[in-house]
Amino acid sequence: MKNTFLAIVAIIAFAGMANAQLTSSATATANARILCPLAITHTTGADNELNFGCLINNGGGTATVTNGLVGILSTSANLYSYTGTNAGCNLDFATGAVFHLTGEPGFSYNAIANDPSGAGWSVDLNYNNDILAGAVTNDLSGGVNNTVLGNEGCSNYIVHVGGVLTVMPGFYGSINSGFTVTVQYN
Amino acid sequence: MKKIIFLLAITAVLIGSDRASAFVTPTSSSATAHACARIFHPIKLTWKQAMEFGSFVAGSTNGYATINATTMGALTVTNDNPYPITPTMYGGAYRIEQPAVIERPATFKAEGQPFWTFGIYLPTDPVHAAVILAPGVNPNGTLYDDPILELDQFNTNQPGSYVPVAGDVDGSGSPDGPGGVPDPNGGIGTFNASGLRYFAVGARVKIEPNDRPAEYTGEFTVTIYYN
Repeated sequence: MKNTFLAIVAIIAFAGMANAQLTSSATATANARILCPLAITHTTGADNELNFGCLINNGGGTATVTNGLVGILSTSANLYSYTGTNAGCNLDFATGAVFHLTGEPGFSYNAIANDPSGAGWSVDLNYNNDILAGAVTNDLSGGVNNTVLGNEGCSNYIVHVGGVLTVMPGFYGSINSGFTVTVQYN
Repeated sequence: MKKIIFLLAITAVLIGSDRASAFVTPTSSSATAHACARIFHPIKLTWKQAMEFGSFVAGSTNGYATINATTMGALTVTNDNPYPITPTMYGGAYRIEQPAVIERPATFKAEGQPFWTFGIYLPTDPVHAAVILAPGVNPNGTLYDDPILELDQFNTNQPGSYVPVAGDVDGSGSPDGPGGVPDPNGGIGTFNASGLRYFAVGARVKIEPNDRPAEYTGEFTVTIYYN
């Protein structure tokens, strides 16, 4: 009996020693990063649209609104800015379009839009993420732009859209054409 | 055994996910704005008919003859040529009806944006009608004055234009004494639905006693501008 007991104890002891050699533990880490979502919005309003104002067409030409903080209008020969009282043009100011952008600081994005056009006129759009020092003008229909966001946090970016309006000789009338800007992380 | 398998599976997943990092964000977004402009017709002015004062004989004192466009009302337009119905002349000097000359104002054709208004700017300084001739001696033995006639008090038939004073024979500005300074503004015109407006321009000519008998011709400039 005693031998059997000792044998059982021995077996149990040996079994315990064998389990310790078959197991091991280690600690790993799990990481996740939540980025600022890339989103562009536009608030409808007279001061937020791309507006070339009132123009006198005396043989065709171009009008340009810059894409800086304040849209500045300039015209080529035969196309003149009119700011008199007829048709309320004294209150029809040239402005650049304004979009608000959220995105991850330091990341780059691409912006693209289809240039609006019609019979006798067309607009070549460009944009500037002017919160960046030294930002350059980017053609909205020209493909990949790789604009890099600064360090202003998630939701403090403003994109100004300007453009060059080309008017053909003999075109007279109103232009009011929508254009959609799409942004995408590179 | 089950515990070991579970830990191995988690490790494999984390290693395969770019250094154990995960992205959670939309990758594109769109928004729509508008491109706007209003394009209008240019303004254009064309001279159509000359101003005609007719014929005079100089008197012993200064004389004035005035074509008053403000009282003639609308013009008659035939084949794009505007004509006044009845121009008004005031006394002064001695008018002669030979050769037969129809006194009339100058007429102009303005073109621009339908229904827009425009301002008319007339000469404010006297305009000289001149004859290019060598100075001569009149029958009385005195020298002729410089061969020019002076025109002033330009006016139009558009609202707001300067109105010449009736009976202002001596050029004082009013029948009873000194008058006001002629208004340099030729009034405000309004384009019709076709973008047209014809208007007339009158003026006053001074004829001095020693003015040389001759035919005098001069030029004056009228400017229009969108308001």
